[in-house]
Amino acid sequence: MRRVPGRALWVTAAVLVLATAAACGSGSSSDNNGTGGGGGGNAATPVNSSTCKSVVNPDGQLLVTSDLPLNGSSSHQTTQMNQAIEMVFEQAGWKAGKYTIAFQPCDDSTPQAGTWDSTTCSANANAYAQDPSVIANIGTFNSGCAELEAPVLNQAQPGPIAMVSPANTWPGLTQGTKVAAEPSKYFPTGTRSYARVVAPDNFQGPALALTAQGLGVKSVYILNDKQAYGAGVAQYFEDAAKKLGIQVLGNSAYNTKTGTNYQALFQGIAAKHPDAIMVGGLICENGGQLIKDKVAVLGDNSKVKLFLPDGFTTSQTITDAGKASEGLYASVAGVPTDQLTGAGATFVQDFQDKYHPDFVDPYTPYAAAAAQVVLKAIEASDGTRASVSKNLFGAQITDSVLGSFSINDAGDTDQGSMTVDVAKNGKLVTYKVLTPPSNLVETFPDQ
Amino acid sequence: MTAESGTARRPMLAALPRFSQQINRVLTWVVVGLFVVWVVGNFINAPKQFVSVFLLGVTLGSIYALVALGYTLVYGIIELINFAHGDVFMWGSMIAVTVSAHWLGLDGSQGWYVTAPLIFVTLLACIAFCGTLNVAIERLAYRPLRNAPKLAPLITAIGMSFILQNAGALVYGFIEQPVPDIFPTKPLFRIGGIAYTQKSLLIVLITIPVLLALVYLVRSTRQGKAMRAVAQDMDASRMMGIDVDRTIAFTFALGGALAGAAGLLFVMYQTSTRYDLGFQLGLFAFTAAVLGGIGNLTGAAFGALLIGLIQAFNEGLSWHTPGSSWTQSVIFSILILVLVFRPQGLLGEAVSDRA
Repeated sequence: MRRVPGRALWVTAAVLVLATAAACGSGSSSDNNGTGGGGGGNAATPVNSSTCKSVVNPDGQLLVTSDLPLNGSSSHQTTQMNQAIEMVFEQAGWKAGKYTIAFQPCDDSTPQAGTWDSTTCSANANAYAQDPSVIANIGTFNSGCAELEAPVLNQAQPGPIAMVSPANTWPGLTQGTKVAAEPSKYFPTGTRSYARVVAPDNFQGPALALTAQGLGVKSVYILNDKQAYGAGVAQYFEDAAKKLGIQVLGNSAYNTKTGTNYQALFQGIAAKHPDAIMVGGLICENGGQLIKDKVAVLGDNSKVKLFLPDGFTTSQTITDAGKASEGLYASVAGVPTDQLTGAGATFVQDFQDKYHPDFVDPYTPYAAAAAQVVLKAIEASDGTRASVSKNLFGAQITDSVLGSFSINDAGDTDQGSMTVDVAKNGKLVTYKVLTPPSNLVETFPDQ
Repeated sequence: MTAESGTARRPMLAALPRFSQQINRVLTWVVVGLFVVWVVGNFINAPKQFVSVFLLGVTLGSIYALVALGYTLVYGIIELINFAHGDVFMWGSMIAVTVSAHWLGLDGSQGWYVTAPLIFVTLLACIAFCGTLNVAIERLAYRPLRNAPKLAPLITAIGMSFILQNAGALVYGFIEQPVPDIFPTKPLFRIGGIAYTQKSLLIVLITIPVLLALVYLVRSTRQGKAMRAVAQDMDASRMMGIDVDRTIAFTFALGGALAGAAGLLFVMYQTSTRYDLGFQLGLFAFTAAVLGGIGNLTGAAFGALLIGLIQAFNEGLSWHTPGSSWTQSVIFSILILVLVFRPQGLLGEAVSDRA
């Protein structure tokens, strides 16, 4: 007859603990070895991967790929980024100096995850490395994905594939951080091949802290998602806030699983009476609920202010958090699209005329700028991978979508502009554009 | 009903040499003692905060209870841990969003005399959908395996869980499904500046009669008697003229209905849901069922209340508290501790209403 739970329950418990562990492990490790092919033929060979779409201008000799998450909450943004890249190449007549180019967009996300996926990132990087036609990659969107792809592309044969990110903000990809072996672990060959056109999080944290100070915030409580990006930007915010004389009441991790209710968490925080909350995380990690519960317990965002990094700077945040999003501040690297001048304004106009988007997303011009950096590097090169990678560094880009800027020897842009948006009447509108002073921008020696 | 014929269950470690019984007992008391000290310490440290967090825990526990009862009902009758149950609950929450917000157009702006009947209609829709879904799962996936080794239906249940989850994603997409605040959110009173809303009370007020009705059904009705008989001995029940398949199907319908009701309450409370909702919440509810003594109705409700409170305490209190990101670890540690020291659960001995 009936036996009460004994062995069956044990087996069950083991199964579910394993299942949870598997579900929690949101990819951080990978071991990859780039292997390579020979030199380039006449027309580029498309990358052999189901995540890659068809090649645009297939007659081009050198293949430029893009690697962005095309599923989930960032798909509105990433679709535009691919369109922007294509438009820049088209305007250049699909030519970089004496070389003709082809473009192939690839996807580093899965529908299930709704965001970048570590296995897909690694697989994509290996696919590029194995295709001798691939000369450069524009991507990734997420820093976590770049951490996996950069070393693979760096070790590709024959020669490292140049990688230019329009959106990675984790400082460690180009410079030293508190994390061991950054940035050297991203270029195992010893020669750098990664550059980006946005200012990293050591600018973003201070930009949010400066905004908080300007709004009269005296004390703040920080929440982070424990991931490299979220915890990282939270730490940069904390350090800058302390330097600015804002009292930091705590910096703790929160549970990012769907269905989690955060009211108890905020009740605990309420007892500390903060003027503001800062969250280092992403909207797709139950972020909407976090914002709703913040407002339910601590009151609306005009009373206890809410500061969020660019993981939240998307219209999805407004959709998910509803009315609770009103009055939140969210930062994004770079200059807002409506404040671009010269070539940038022309680009935005051309883009609107061609694709008729409901609005131009913040990273769209940055994708265009990354494409311009790639064109410049190919133009200055001898057509080999190594030469294109080498020409990324020290590149002077004049009259680009973002104005004139240069890429330094580490692969960082000399533009440190950050935009802070505020949610007003269900829309993110620019609150201010600022460049944090160098004394607030934390840097660490390369490791 | 019944029961455990046979010897009273003994803790797992009792299988080891005799002295381990003492260790077992001492450790149990140490764990319970530490927990009491921690709770009392937090109360003394910040009494107002403690009370408001406690009330929140009761609301969370009420929702968990409705889900936990579904696990325990099914376990009680066919000794299957129905892992798909959390996902039936997720479907309940999705149907609640579709019916209340999309079809009936509720957005919180209507008066209570409009909202209340339409919410009731939504509740009926959730109950009907999830009840039918659970019966269909039983018919298609579990009944053919009723005489197979225990592991087969268990794995099938895990598979069912993935199927339901992916179906949810297919229909509703991978993003959050938000609903406006439909339940009244006015504060009833404030403790230390923290509002206790009408919504929170409403959740508890709806849960209690549902639990009482369920206990009444299992203990005092003819159908309940049949359920208890089937749980005790399927073959003997069949000889007594009980339609075993029908009784089991009824139990699944009941469990599904509870999950549907829980889905509605959850989404009204939380105001959003997503395709993977059933995963964490299902596991919490399963832990609650084990904590109370799986198969025991009162135990499941009691265990759910405890899990709700422990979660709220862990996240909302400040004296020696691990914090939000440790909630899963804390709750699954409890699951392991219960399995080691008291596999029959806290109320496992009270077998009278085992279904």
